[in-house]
Amino acid sequence: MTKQNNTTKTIIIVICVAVLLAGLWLGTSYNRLITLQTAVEENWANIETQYQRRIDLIPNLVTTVKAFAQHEQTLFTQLAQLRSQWQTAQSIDAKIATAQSIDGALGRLIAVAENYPQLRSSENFLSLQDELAGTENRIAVARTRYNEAIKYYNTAVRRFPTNIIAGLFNFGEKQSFAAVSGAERAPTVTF
Amino acid sequence: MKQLPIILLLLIITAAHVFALQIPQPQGLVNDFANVIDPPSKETLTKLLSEIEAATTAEVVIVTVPSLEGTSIDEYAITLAQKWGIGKRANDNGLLIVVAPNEREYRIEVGRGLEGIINDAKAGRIGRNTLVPNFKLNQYGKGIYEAVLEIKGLLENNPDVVARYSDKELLTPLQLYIALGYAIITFGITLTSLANKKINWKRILAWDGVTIALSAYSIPTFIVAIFIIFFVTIAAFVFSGMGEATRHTGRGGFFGSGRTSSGTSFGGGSFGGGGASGKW
Repeated sequence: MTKQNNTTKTIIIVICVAVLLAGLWLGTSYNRLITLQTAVEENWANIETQYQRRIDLIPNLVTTVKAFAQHEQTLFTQLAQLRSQWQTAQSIDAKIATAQSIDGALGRLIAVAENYPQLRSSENFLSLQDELAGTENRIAVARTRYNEAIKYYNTAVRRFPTNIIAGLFNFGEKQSFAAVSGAERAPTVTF
Repeated sequence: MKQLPIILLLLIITAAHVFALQIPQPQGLVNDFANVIDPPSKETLTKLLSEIEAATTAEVVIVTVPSLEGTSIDEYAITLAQKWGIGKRANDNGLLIVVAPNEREYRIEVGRGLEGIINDAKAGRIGRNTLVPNFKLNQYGKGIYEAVLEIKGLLENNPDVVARYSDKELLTPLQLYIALGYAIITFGITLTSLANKKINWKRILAWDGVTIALSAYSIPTFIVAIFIIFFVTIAAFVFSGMGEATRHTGRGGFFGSGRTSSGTSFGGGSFGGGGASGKW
């Protein structure tokens, strides 16, 4: 009889330890997924901040260019429109789409400005152009870091055994930020 | 799972991109991998950079590269800056100047903690005014030295340097004439009031109205207008002149007591992508 009791006890202990270990593993894996997911969200917020910073530059840019290039009105109107489009955009996809349209519009604005020598030598315009180039660079850096965070997150979600937890708690794979060819950086003035 | 091939492709592209960039090991504050800085300039530069670190704890580092190997200088600069960890971790006060003589491009990469003192516009101006003219004459050591002098002035809040890079908006000639004309009329009204010893309130109130109307297009001018009205009205009573406009100097910062350079390892500061690039 004792032998049976011992065996039962051992089995119970083993089961308890196993359950404890499983619980620990579950906890740490889940926490790790949360950490990676938070990193992704933080990096996304950073991208939005830089896009916002770029939007904030637009009014100044338009005013400066307008002073020398009044008849480019369609471009100015378009930029004003895109600005309000950004501010009213609700979903992330809508924001990305607007940001990409702004890429194009700003590129055109700088290209237009290059035709006006007074603009090219205006200290004001050069400063704004530096700010714009700096912001575009920050956007590029933010996107690279975002994609890195996505990479780590997606890897964890897909790897075994973490993918079990991921499936259990609905951690889906995330889409990385694909670069838009050509329209990324505003062209700079060469001397 | 339909997205799997696309995701895999993006991952591979990202990974390949990361591995394609070869970042050399740091040698010190001046890393002349392209061998374009003459030895005496290198010495004076290193001394200047050490002084900056001692005075402000900011880590300013120079790198010249023989070839960017197809990478953009923006990407090269931030990858190197982040990898070397330039700047103190607590302050993120690193600054990196990368020069690529082969591609004729440079970049001034400003750490997160210094973006307030050296914003993109200032970095751009430093590059245009000190680096470009010197690089066009192949004077790399001289150009970089002049740039670092400017940076030192900004970091140490040297009033002469700060004034050179103030972000104040320059007035167009038309704005200048309008401002001048306005000042003359205001002064005239004040003087005639004083001379007549009788206060012509109608005239003063009319002029106040004009002032408000003219200034309403932006908040700073509106506030200035209120000041002007206040003082003109008081000047009509008492023999006190108009107030002076205040000037804002750039924000400076000292990051703590001096420390000697720790050789070829840096403090682990981080960068956000601020700064300015240029070509010559």
